[in-house]
Amino acid sequence: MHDSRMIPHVGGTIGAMASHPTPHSEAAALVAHTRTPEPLSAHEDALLRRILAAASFHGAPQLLDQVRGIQLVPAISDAEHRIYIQHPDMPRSTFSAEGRTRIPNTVLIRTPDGHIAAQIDVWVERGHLRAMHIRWAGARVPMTLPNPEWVVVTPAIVPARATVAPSASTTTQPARSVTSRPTPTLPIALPSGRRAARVLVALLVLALAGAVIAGAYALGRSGAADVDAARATGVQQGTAAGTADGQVLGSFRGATEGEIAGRQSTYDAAVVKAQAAALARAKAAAAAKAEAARVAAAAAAAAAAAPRYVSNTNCSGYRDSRGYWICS
Amino acid sequence: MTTATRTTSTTLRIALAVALAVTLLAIAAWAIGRSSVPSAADAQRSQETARSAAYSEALAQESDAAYTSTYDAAFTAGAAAGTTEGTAAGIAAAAAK
Repeated sequence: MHDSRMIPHVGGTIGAMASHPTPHSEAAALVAHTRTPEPLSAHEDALLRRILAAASFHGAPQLLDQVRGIQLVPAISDAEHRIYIQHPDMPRSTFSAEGRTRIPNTVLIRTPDGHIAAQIDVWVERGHLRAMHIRWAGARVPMTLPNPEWVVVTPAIVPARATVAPSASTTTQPARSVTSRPTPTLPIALPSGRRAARVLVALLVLALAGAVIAGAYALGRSGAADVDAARATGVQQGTAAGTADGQVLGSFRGATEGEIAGRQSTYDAAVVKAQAAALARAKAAAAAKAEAARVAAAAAAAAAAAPRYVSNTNCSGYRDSRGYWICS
Repeated sequence: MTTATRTTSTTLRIALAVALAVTLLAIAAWAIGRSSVPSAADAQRSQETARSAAYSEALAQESDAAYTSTYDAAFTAGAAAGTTEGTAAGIAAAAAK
């Protein structure tokens, strides 16, 4: 399947590269995947030129000159791994003439605000540019290449040495393995200030969330009704109403029941007493009247029967209105 | 989609998720806080209960006091009235005989 003969439209340059007889050739596998190599974009071209122009190792000018002839293999390249091919007749650099290694310079991508965003490794295989590995500092890998203006090339941290492939056999190995080799520890890391800023932002977000939640809880509690005040108000209102009504009701009951009881306590006795008194007075009046009548009658009878004298010398009696002595 | 656009979209999604989570937690906290304190309905019920109890107590006390203070005077007046009426009735009854 990795046979170049299955790719009829690939010919010329790629076919020549596939058959290029080099000790550590991996061109066969590379060709098998490189169906549509394409020229470098202006961005990538500028990036490579910026790196290689600033590099300070022997053979760098030749590598810089190769940039105009290399092509990208998009089928096995991505935003981090840029795999290149070029015609085998392209003049080779004296750097890494026998193996595959990275350029000795440390290539960093430093943003205008001073943060290191990535480190770039440029791989050279037997004097030809072979790959570019962009190791981003952040967790997310941007889909675009870094800005060439941000390239900072510093002298090599470690002495340049060839990382020779482990075997010189003819076993084919995908060109992608160029970037899968063990690489030195990334000398860059998030700057402590940036890391601290991220931690600070996270803490601020947590604090803000906590404040929002606490505020919502306090807001919920702030709607509490004052039960004690309501109870006190109820007691006050109930006492006032009960006092007013109680005074009216008690007064009415007391006056009514007291009057009735008092009336009942004296009525019957007064009736009997008054009746008796009235009867007594009536009897007395009748008796007095009868006695008066009797006396008058007796007097009249006596007067009629008794002789009338001017002076009473013969009998006891009384003198009438005319001056006569009436013997009784 | 460019890297910047995708990064922005991812950041926006994360921000929206965080905002949604915070909002939900805030709503839950508000509900918990709201349910942990007495409501206006509770206060209204408490007020009505206290008012009813105070009304009954005040009504009983004031009614007894007013009853006591007015009974004697009313009894005296009633007794006088009863005497008067009874006297009149007795005289009338005596006159009728």
